[in-house]
Amino acid sequence: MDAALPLDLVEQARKVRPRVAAIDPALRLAVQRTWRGRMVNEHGSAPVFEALGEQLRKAGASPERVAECARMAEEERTHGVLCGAVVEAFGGDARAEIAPPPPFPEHADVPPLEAVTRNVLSVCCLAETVAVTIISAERLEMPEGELRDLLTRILADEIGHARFGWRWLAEVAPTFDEAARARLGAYLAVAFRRLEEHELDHLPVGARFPEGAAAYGLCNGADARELFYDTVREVILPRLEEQGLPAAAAWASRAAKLT
Amino acid sequence: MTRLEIRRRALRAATAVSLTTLTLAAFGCDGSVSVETAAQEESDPPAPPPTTTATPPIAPPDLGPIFPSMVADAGADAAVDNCPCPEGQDMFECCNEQSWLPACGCEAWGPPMPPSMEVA
Repeated sequence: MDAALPLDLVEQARKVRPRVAAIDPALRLAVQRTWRGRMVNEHGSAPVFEALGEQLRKAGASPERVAECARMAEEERTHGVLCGAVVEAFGGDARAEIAPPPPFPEHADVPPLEAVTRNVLSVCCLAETVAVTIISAERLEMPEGELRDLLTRILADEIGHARFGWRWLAEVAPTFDEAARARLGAYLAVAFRRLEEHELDHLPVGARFPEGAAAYGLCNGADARELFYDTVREVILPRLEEQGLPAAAAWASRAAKLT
Repeated sequence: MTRLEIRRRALRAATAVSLTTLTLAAFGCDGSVSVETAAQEESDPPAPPPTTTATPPIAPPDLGPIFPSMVADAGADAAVDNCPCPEGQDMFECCNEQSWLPACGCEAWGPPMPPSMEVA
């Protein structure tokens, strides 16, 4: 296993620390740990967008598209700082140990445009679209205040990240022939399975925080799971099908390991 | 706000971002994102009250508290009681060991690295 790397966002996070109300001591550490986890993962998403931008460049995407990826990578880093700011606001340190990022798949078995579309589908049309739903719900459960303002900023960026993928797909999908669509459908089955495993691992159904935890951004795992499945069935699958991709069949064949 | 209303609004947000440029252009939206996009949801009219023919909302099953110790001792640090990860341990390693237990803060939004086709 690769050695963990230190992530220290204390200095940056303290500059943007939100003002928060006093918290039940029983909740404080759970809030710290939840937002520290988000800090780690948001910061860790920056390399995903950096690699995506490079792959888009190689595939002949416009400089504007490539620049958008660089901006989204920077936004993910900023989100890491903002999440760290919440950790700091509740008395923790915006520090963690992080694992080196796994390799970015190049999908060399297919043409470059199709290859990068696989990754755009996975990152933006699937993961970030689900994030929009989950964060929207968490935000709606928060009272007015600086913590909600912070979450609103993150949500606005996540909306942009998801929208990037859907715009890309609308542009390139008409250029794919039937064979490419079938291959993308096969990839979607893999991506759906990975997405489901990822979301279910993060949202244990038996988990329930105490009353009032939602005010600090702690979600109910069972509710969030429902939202995840609703998002796939009511938003993602119909949109992908509209673009001519066999998404429903891919979802049905994902054969995910349910935990 | 009811849970059904939260669900409706959250799904509507996701639906909105999945609309293509053609649809967005019709509304004068160039795809740029602002905080107002999210704040605009606040002005949405509330969902109509359920009619007599509508299926009543189903109460979520009572899964019980994840921090039972809180009931007995609100001053105790319940998260410590429920999260076995020691301070300073690598987050990914610990969260994987604990199946991403929320009590340990093992929750995240950032998109993971996309899978390669070889895992199929």
